Formats: sequence, C-alpha cells, structure tokens
Amino acid sequence: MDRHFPVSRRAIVAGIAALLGTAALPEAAIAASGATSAPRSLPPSQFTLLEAVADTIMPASDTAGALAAQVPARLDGLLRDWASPPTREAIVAALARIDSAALAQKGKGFVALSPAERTTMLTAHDADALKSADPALKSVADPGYLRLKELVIALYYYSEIAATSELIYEHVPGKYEPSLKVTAQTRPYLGTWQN
Amino acid sequence: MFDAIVIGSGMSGGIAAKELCERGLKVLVLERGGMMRHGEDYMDSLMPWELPNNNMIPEEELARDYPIQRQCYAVNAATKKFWVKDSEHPYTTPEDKPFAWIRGYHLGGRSLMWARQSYRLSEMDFEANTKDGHGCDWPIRYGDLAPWYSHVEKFIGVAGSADGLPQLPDGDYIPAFEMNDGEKLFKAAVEAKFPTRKVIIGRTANLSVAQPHHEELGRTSCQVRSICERGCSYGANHTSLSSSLPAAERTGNLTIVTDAIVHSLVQDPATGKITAVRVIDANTRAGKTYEAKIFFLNASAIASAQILLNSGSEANPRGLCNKSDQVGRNLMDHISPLLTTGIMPNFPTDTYYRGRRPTGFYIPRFRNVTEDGEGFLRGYGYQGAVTRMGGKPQAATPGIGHALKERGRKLGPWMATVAGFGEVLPNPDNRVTLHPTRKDKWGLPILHIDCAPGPNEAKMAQQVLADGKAMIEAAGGTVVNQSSGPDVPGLGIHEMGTARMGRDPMTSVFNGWNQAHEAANLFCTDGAAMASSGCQNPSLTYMALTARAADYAAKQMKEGKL
Repeated sequence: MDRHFPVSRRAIVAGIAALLGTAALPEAAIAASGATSAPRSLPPSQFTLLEAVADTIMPASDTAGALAAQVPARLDGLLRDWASPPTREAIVAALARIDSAALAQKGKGFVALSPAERTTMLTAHDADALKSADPALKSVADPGYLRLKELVIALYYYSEIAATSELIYEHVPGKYEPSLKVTAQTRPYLGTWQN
Repeated sequence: MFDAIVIGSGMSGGIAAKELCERGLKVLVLERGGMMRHGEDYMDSLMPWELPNNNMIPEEELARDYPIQRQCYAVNAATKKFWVKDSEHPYTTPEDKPFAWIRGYHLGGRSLMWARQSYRLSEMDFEANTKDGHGCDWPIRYGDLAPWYSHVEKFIGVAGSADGLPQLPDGDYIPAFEMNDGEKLFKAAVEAKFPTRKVIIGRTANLSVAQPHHEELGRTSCQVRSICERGCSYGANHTSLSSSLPAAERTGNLTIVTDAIVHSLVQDPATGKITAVRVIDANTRAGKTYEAKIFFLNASAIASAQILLNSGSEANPRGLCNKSDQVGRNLMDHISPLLTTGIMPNFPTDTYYRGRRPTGFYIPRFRNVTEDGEGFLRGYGYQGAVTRMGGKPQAATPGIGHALKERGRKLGPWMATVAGFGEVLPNPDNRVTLHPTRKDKWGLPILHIDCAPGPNEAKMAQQVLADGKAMIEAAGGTVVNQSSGPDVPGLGIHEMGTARMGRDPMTSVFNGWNQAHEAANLFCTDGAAMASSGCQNPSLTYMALTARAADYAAKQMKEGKL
C-alpha cells in the first residue's frame, strides 16, 4: 500500500534541510523573487516615474532603499499578476497625479526634480492625499495614492535586503524568549502578515 | 468490506481513524477533497520575499473564487490551496442573514489551518442546557469525557499551564509557553482589579517540547514561527497530516481514498443498520459504494448534517436518523471576535521579546461563573496578547522618506488586544436544509443556511466589549479601537449542533456514545454532535468525543453487538 506519511528519520532530516533553505527553491519562489524576464507591465515613462516615487517614499540611508530592494520591478509585477484593472488604473492615476502636481508647481515632471525637490513636493502631496475624506469609512482623499504607498512599504519591508538590515526577520526563531532588554541596537521584528 | 468507514479526514476524522486502527479495525477514510502531503505540499519554507505577489491572491481571482473564504484572516497566497473555491461549492442564505461557511476540502481538512487553541469544557457547560432550558440536556457529563480529554491531549501535545479553575479544567499538558513582560503586567493589573478573573497563557496544540511519542511520528518541537496555517513541516502543530493519520497508518490498518464525495448512507430497513456509503468520484463523477460494519460521520458539523439529510428514503423522507427533526437544526457558531485594542502608555519600554509564539493569552469565562451576566445567559472567554508596536509603518499615517524609515525602526509602545468568543444558545430555527431545487456540479442538492444570532447573543456581545474595555483600562491602557459587534456568523469557524447528542430519540439524533438513536452502527463525533457550544474553542472536545466513541464502538463490535 502507498504510504502517505513517511516518518523515517531521513524524511524528517530532509524536511528540515528544506526549511533551512539548503534544498533547491521551487520554481514559484524564483519567479516571485522578481528575477524573471517577464515583460514590464508599465510603459517606460511610467516605470521611471514609479522608480522616482518609490525612491522618494523609501530612500536609501544607512540602509538600502526602495531601489535596492527592487520595489519598482516587484510593484510592476504586482500590477501585471495581482492587481485587478480598477486597482491598476487607480495606482497609475495616482502616479500621474504626482507628476502633474510637479509640473504645475515646478514646471517639470517629478522625475526631473532633484531628490530634495522630490521629497518636499511628495511630502506635501502625501499629507493632502491622506487627509480624511470620511472618518466613518476611514477613507482618504486619494485612495489610489494610499494603495500605492501601502504597496511600496510592504514590498520594501518584505524584500530580502530590508528584512535583513532595516528590521529583523527570523524565519525560524527556534525558541521564544519572553523578556529581552532593549538596547540602542534593538530593532522591531518584522511579522509574517505581509500586507 | 472494511470494519469501519470514517467520512472526513479533518480534526475529528483523523482521530477516529487513529483510534479505530489502533484497536485492530480495518479502516477506510473517505475524503471529499484531494490528496495533501505533509511537508511537500506546504509553503512554510519560503521566505516572505519568495512568496508569490507578496503573499496576496490576485484580486480578480479572490473576488471570483473566494468571496466567502477571503473573510477568514488566514487566507493568503501561501495557504490558498487549503480553502475551497466558493465558486465551485455554492450554498445559499436568506439575503438578510449572511453566513460565512469557511471550508477546506483536502486530506486533513481544516485541521491544517486550525488556530490550535485547546480548552476543555467543564461540568458547568455540560449542565447548562438542563439548567436554563435551552437545547436538550447533554447525555454525558464532564466526568465521562475527562479521561478522553487526557488521552487526546497527551497524543496531540497541548502546551499549557495548570490553573485550577473549575470553569476551565486543567489537562495533561506539555510545558506552557511563557508570557512576555507586557502580558505579565496586564495579568497582574487585571487580576488585581477583578480578583475572580484570570489571565492565563493560551493552551495550544503546538509542541513546546516534543515528547518521544511525538518524535516517533516524525514530529519535532515548535520553532515559534507562527506560520502554522501554511502547514508545518516540523509537524509541531497537531494536524491530521502531521499526527493522527500517520498514527493510523503505522498500524497497517488504514486505507485512504481521496476525491470521494459522500452522496449518502444506505440503511437496511430491516435491521436499521447502515450497510454502505455511496460515493461520487470528484473527478470522474463515477458512483461507487463502500461497505463496512460501522460508520463514523466526521465531515464537519454542517456537512455531516447534509449527508444525513441527503440519505432519506421512503421510510425516512425527512432524511436518515431524523425522526426527531433535529438534523440540520441548532446551528451554533461562537460570536466573535469582538475585539478591543488599547495602547499601554505605562508599560515599560525597555523590554522586548523574541520569536513568534504560536498562542496568545486566554481569559477564561467569568460571567455567570463568578460575576453575574448582565441580563444574558451563559458567557464568554477572551483570547488576547500584549505586544510591542513598531516595525512596518502604517501607510495611512502621513510621512515619507527618512522620517518614515525612522518611524518603522522605532520600537513602539505596548499594545493590548482582547478578542471575545461567546457562547451561542441552541436555537432550532438556526438550521441548514437541502435546497429544494439547486444542485452542485456533482448533482447533490446544495445547502441553504439560515442562521442568525438572537437577543441573548446581542446582549452578551455588548458586555464582551464593555468588559474588554474595562480590563484594558484597568491595566492603564487607552482603548484605540473596538469592534462594533460580532462578525458574520460562521467566521468563528466553530460550527456546531446540527445533529445533537441527547438522551431522548425524539429530541436528539445521537446518544451518549455518539451513536445514532436510529442506527446502532452509525456514530457522529464532529461539531454536529454538540448539544451546546460552551465558549471554549471546540476542536479538543470533538477529538475527545471521537476517541471515546471509537473505544466504545470497537468494544461493541468485538462483543458482536454491532
């Protein structure tokens, strides 16, 4: 009879080796890492705008920023593989509004601004976009922008580079330590609810 | 011909298979869903950045295939294969009475995704129906089930503490997980202000320390990852795939058939005994019949009722074992989660913890135990946790750039959350019936679920929220968020009561041994058999009832009585 549940020592060891990442990654994992050759979802001009916006929301500092975390490419992947047409349109429109605001205020597109100008402009745009539209519904003035910002943040913190430098992610903590003294080096742990 | 057929491979079916196989019976487990293999079918080894679409299911697919299932917190890309497609498994409800039926059709069923909280019912719970007159009296008392609770706790491994509370009896536990410093302060403050309330560590079916009998099955200690619902390749949480089915299989007595949708049970009108199960192959739609001497119905509360209702005959037009007209009635699901969240500004900011502990704390019932119910019957318990805020920042809070990064790095204040789970009264009008006209793609009548909480539950819900707020404030907290009321019924994922146990064949379906009043060789030990719901998470009780009934059935068989 076919055994559904191999419980040999060998099977356990093999299972644990897989958990520690010593076995080959499934194809789905490689595809999800963003290292695919699938065509871009956004046209080049919009992708460049997304890069500039993501870099401004989550810039490089003493740790990597959104660009090193491949946030633009991964967000482009979400627009291709995950977003419904209305979500995609809302995000593209939110990006376009940032560009239009730059044109109106500075006479040039967001991409053409200096990093300092981008930060000043987007800080004001962010504050306006997130103003409460209806407190009862917890809705904001520019829901498309909120969705864009949520995705940039989620993709940033759940990138390998941020999860291992900006915050702390331990896939296999091994044991629970209920009381640790906070030091100057302490950083919050990243949880497993990614979105 | 098998000695026993177990219908369903989830929480209770897995234990039925194990207990019957270990008593020497040749057992067939029928599972309506597909094969699922421990370890190799799980996505728990993937790092967050390796999960597809940042662990989100594509929006159009979610809307099309999972409009009901998506309401469950544990539905994501890493667990997608564990949930039914609502588009393939429809049911109806009255328009004004939504019911979210959360399901997993695959080997192991919902035991793969359960939240593992494992609490005993108490004497008070078994006496509740007879004392206040709602529902029918349980045909058993706590003492009947206590040894079987122990039996199951030892086998599955429950990490917990002995707290000496009559309303939440202690069990046979492996070492408890520890509370963090915030939780210890919360516990001290709540217990000081409300001397008869207790804050205890959650009792959870995760192997804090795997015992030799767990390791024999290939299970190892919990690594505090808290991604249990993806399937645990360490086998550290009890599931049918990690634990009960491997135990059944090693006896050499187990046969599993997947993709086998039970159409109905066949009763011999002369003897009253069940003789066979009619099955439809999920893939080919071919019909097949399996025969056995005894039958265990473990399809889950609603689905077990569906099978009985669909097994009618000329002699039993209302369905099998349904002279009482109680099959499908008294559907209960705990009102939940009734959340209250507060920030704890007085808790020390110089202490933290490490690891994702797979349980929170628990506040056992106190209403109508040590404190009066404010105009309602029965009571509720809370699950909760106290954790440090910080980490991935909220996008809705204004701010970008370096300031946003700094916000994420900063360890925030302690935050306390309590979530109430309240007992629901058995009400015969809350029921499932076969749809008069609509059929599923296998030709089986779909279900109509008509269930809504009543006035007792509404009153109770208000008190759950008031008490939650009072406890957070007692610990110096400021409430920042609170539910407005319970979620849609079903989302407690504790469905019970649709073929209840009782003493009287005219008011109940199964007797004190979970044996059908009208068919001596048919047993039902899933949520359907529950005569009342208690407020405790019910899976442990299903498993204890199952082990007890399996022991009884095997003895009866050996004595030639079945």
